[in-house]
Amino acid sequence: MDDPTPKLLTISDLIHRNRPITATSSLHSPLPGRPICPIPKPKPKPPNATHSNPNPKTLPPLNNPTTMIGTLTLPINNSPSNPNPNFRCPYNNCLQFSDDSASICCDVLDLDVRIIGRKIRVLAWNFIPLKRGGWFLEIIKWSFLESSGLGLGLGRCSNVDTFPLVSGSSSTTTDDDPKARYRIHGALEFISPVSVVPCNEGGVNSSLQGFLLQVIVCECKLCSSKSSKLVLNDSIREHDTHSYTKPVFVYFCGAASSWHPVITKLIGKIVTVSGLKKKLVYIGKEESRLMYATTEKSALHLSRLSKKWALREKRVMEGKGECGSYKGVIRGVYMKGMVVELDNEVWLLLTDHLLTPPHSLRVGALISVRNVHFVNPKFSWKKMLILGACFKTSIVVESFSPLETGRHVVSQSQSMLGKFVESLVFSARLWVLLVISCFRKKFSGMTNEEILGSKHKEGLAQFYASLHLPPPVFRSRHGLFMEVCNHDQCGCGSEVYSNNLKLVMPISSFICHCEATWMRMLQRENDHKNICENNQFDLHSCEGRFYGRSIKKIITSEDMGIILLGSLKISPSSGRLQLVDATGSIDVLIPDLPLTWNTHSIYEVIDYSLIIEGEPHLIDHLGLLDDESVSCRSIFQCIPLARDTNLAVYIYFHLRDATCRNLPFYPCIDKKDDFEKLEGGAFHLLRVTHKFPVLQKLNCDMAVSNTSSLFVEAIILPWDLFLNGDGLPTKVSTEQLEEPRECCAGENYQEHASLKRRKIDHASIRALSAGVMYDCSKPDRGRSSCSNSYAQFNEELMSCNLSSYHKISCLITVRGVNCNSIVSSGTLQCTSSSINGGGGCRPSARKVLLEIKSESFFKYQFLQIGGYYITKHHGDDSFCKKGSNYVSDVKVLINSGIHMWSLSYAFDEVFPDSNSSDHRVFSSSSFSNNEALSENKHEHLQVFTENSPSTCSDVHIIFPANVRDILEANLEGLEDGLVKPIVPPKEITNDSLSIASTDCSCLFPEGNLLSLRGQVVSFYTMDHSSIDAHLSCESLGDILQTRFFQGVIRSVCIHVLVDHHIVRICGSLNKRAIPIGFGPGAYATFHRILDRGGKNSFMLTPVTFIVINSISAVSEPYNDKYVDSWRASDVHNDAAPDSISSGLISELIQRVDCKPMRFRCRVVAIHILVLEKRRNVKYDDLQSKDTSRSPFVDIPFAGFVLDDGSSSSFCWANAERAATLLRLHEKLPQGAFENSGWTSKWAQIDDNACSTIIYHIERIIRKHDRITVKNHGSMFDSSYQDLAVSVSSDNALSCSDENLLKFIIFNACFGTFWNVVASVMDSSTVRQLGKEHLSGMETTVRAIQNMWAMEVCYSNPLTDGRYLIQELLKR
Amino acid sequence: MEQLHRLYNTHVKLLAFDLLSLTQTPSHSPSDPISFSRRGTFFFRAETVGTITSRELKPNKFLKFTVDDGTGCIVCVLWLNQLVSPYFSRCSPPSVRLIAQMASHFAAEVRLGVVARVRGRITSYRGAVQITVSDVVVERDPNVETLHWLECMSLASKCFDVRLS
Repeated sequence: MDDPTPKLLTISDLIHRNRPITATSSLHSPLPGRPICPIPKPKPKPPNATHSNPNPKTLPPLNNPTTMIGTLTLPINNSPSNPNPNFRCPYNNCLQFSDDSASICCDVLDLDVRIIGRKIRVLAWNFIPLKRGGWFLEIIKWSFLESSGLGLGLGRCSNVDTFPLVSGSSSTTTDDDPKARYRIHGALEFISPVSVVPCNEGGVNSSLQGFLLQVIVCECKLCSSKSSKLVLNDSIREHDTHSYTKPVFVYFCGAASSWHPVITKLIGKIVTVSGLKKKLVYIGKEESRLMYATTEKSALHLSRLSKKWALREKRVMEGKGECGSYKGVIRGVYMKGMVVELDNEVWLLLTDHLLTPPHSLRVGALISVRNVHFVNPKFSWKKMLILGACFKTSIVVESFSPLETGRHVVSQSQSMLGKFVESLVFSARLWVLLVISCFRKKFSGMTNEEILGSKHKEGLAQFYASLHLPPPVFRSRHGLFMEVCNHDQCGCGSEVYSNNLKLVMPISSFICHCEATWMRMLQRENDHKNICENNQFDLHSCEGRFYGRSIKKIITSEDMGIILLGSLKISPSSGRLQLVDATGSIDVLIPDLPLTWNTHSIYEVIDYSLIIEGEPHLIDHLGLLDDESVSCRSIFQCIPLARDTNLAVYIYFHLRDATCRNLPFYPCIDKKDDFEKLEGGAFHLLRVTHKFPVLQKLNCDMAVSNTSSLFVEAIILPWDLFLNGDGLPTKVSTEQLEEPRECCAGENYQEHASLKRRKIDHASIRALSAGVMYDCSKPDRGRSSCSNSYAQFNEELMSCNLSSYHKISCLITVRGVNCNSIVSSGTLQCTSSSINGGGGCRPSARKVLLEIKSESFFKYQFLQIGGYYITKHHGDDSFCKKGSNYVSDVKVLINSGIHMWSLSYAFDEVFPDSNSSDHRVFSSSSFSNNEALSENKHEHLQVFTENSPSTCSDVHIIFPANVRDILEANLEGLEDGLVKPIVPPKEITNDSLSIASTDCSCLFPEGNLLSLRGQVVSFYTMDHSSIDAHLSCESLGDILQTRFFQGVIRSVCIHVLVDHHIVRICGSLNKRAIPIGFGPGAYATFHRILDRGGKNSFMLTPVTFIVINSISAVSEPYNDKYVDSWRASDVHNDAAPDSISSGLISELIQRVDCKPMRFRCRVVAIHILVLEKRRNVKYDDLQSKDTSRSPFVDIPFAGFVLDDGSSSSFCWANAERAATLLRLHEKLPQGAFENSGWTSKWAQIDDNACSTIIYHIERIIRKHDRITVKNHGSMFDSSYQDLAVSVSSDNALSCSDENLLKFIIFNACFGTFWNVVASVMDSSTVRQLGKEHLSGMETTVRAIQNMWAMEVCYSNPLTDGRYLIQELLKR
Repeated sequence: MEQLHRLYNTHVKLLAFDLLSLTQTPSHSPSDPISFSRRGTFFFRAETVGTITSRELKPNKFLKFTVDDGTGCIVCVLWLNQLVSPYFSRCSPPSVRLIAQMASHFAAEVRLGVVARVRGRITSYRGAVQITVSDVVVERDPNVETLHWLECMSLASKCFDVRLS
């Protein structure tokens, strides 16, 4: 009957192999006999198995059919006579399969209880080595060894099988034993895990192993009657007539507890257990319950006809902790098996240490979970379903995994963290597990014990989690019996929501999540608005070139629901400030970064704004990632996430809002140190006038020293600040200061605090100041307690004599960490003797260059242009020279020993207003661009405001009101060192913004350095070809630079909106000099840019430093308004760009309204071309090769034949548009004419400058003032043009030049598509044009459509394709 | 008549299966002995975009290659005989040389597997439609092929299949 060929394997054979294997060949050759289990359907391939395992291999099959013969037995409890120690699994709760050679844990699909204790032939199976030693057999298909295997020799009554629960006993004598006379018949509802309880039997203390199960019994007469075999049969047979309503508990204890794996599989079935006794079981200290308990005579009776009984479950799950069943495929097993991911974002939590999930709980298996709590955690960051396993939960594997995935064994020992997790509601459990998983990745430098803790010590994860978990999520645990019997009272099912639990993420996962979020946002928006309303949706034009426009999104932390943890570091590669953990780093913008920040501290950033910026076409290249918000999977798994997108992702937060988590194991230097460093004494007063961007080292450039340094220019003010040190260590009114924080959470605390403080100060200072200037001859005298008593302070000041203006008393507030402030007093003393009270004093400012070494780079970040700083006067420090004379222009090395504190000042008279101009650094009144800001409804993030009271200076000085004039008069002269922002000339209107108007006669750029502040409207990086194509000479100096700094320096063009005017700032910019957050929408100050004297055109210099003032997400239309005004540089452009519709040339012919249209077309041929030398160019100056770039070629008139597939047309163009259509800015194709000698001469020149076509045209035009090219050949066949070249000068055109010109024209016809905006011309206009430019030469006006090109730019196939799809779909 | 020849100078964009199924009728014009039409509209020049799938060179005579645009393969002939052809005798010799150099440059560009944009006249050889090439541009952006399909569809519905009154 059986196939004789299968090879017989023994267990020891398998153990000897010790590798996963599957033997399922028999499944494909159906054997006759009893179908043990339905032939497993092709097992569902776990979706996205790649996520959990990079290589999810299927189990390797055995090549030949095999069988195994052995006996299936119940687990042997603590049997000392265990034949093979290998088979012992930690649970000691599995079915065993044994043959002569060994025993092994096993699981059987669709278990038939009759096989217990029988010899079976295993036909199909999987063999899985366990991760921590041991093996496991998954039996898929089996048959009885004997064909007459159904004769069990047990109590067999008709269709009922009877199994004694204790082997060796007979169940037939149940009626005889008066104690074991009870019988229950009902539906098995749930089963608890096996536990060991102390018991007192006959006065002897011992422990008893067992488990509880609940059966819903019927209370009908038949069932309630005393048992007899007949009744038993009847009640089983006629179960349909029963009504199962009454729950009873049965305690399977002692030897019967080995039935746990079998009973687990019977949940939901009708069972009968006989031979039970009634027993009082203590489930708590005082609570006991009467329940049935098994005896040695107990037996289990199962009807073969038994139908499944529907568990009493709710049909509709609300996710509030209801019990229910779930069936799904395992996608991942994480955290040592405590977290099992089912299907899509269904998380099964098996955190209770008593739970013993089956070994076959492997990725790819189909499982059915019963009596599990359905919890919808309502996290703000993720929608998911949690299945919380409690003591009622049981898991049955319905189909084994075909994958070679291992199985974790949950550790049975309970750590402190384990207990902590178990004490939480399910949603909080998952959150803590995510925190643990995240911490293990974030802090890879820490040991597991430091993060997880041990049995007696709390780990970092627990410490952190307990800080965040609100008390309601904790629930007390009562032990297994109590929780099983009083399940609902123990709060197991009642889930407390903790929707304010924010997710902690590794930074690398966070960045990936941000990118996915950004793309989803764009996609959603695109779904709403027709993506290509305008063909130029995502393109910007600048001089006829189009650049991708980046889209910025600002997302608040509230919307993200994610907490960031990390330390603050300066990136060695980019020089930017970053939040760093072991997985990655993210750029940060911190407006209130104090010098005292600590690179070792771990900061927890809860309130932040996330800014993501990039070009929308990236969506196409990246594809959409999972359509999920946060992927918990990515946190549980350590997937190294490759990031190669060009999205800029950074966060903005205030350090005062971030909590410096003094997490254990990460020593956080106490901020007291910084207070202590700021002790009483004399301080230099510095003002930073400029910060130099990072120097890029040139090869062989000896000027730049080998060690990297950063430089900051500052002036030393002729005033020294004397601090009364005694007051410093005393903290004042901490309670007062902290009070407002509580009452106005979320508001700008600093403002409130300072307001409050100022009120006190205000009164006190006003009281003292009848006279203004005080000569405190003994400033330190008796000041010890001044900080505690304002009254005392006032008295002290009142006693000063007012005899000179050299000393000004002031009140000083020192900002500390965690909102502790210290108030002290001090004096400002003039170091120069030439001061006078009339305000005419201009003490000379001494300029110093601060050199900051790499170890102190964070000081470079801290120092802000225009900011005031104090540094300790050591008597003989670098800021003073010996003797009384100070020298100017010295270099001071700033090392770690020199401390600086930022300083702000105010006058007593004014109540602080965050936007008041009381704080004199930049007088921003001339900048009205804040209007634009207020128009902008989008979020606006202030990054840098000079010296405003809301930014947190370390030291804040309040001067008496009366000194204002004197101080300001004295400080005014010192601002010469600062380059002030200017306003562009008012008379310039948008219409006159023309590139061509720049005077280009200079060899090297000249002009004044100035600072400019405004909103960045657009920002392009130009590639090399476009640099080459740059027609105007303003980039002249730049190109020189560019050559030296290939790769690092990029040529950029920035359009800035200043006072409703667009100005253009072009030039080279070091990548590292581009600050975080720079881009469209940002308000930025450009320090030291070159005013070229042109109209609204400025140049970046190597010393240009860009400061971001604020960031906002700019709405698209707003942006367009200004960009388009720039684009409208042509006089012929009458129509507003918005109204230009795309169309076909054939449609133009039919149109009567003469409105311009946009076409996508190619050049077929050239009709006529006139090239001229530009007038007013002094090319005597232009001697070198480089200078020949200046655009002294003008194209007054050119006629092209354009074809868009619908029709062809004559298109007339001039100037830049003609140059673009002729592809003059592109490189001369090198490989085009390798065989022809005459072009290789030019083509082989490697130099970028010489390889553009314009270069050659300029070279030729230099000899001939005017060149005309006419096509006498075909106008519609590009290859059959017959070109004739004529020149106006007496010099004959050389043959090679003539050929080159012709080649250039041919080359223009073999190009790609253009986007041309053009309007219809009538034939008389064409004739008129021809007469003007061709002086006598008659243009033949053909009977073909004529049009005038108003705008020419490259087309973008992707954008155009999208537009066309939309258009086609509309029909 | 004019209406019929409204596309005389236009390089129409047609998918290969449309091009190959153009109706061929003898015409009286000496330059175009055969007229090509589709649904009553006459076509003279065409532009196609696709992958070069075959290449057959007869040095100094012609290069014959096929362009596969996903809907069919269209045969293209690029003449390389400008220097000896009497057709060019009325052009200036430097221009003819230049044209010949251009043609050989195109021939070098046409390599198997590249995506090329080909313009030319619609002609017929032994009953099969082919393109007599005037210029070839190798495309590097993979989006252009899709765009070409879309343009063919758009033009067909907006322009070619529309009878102008």
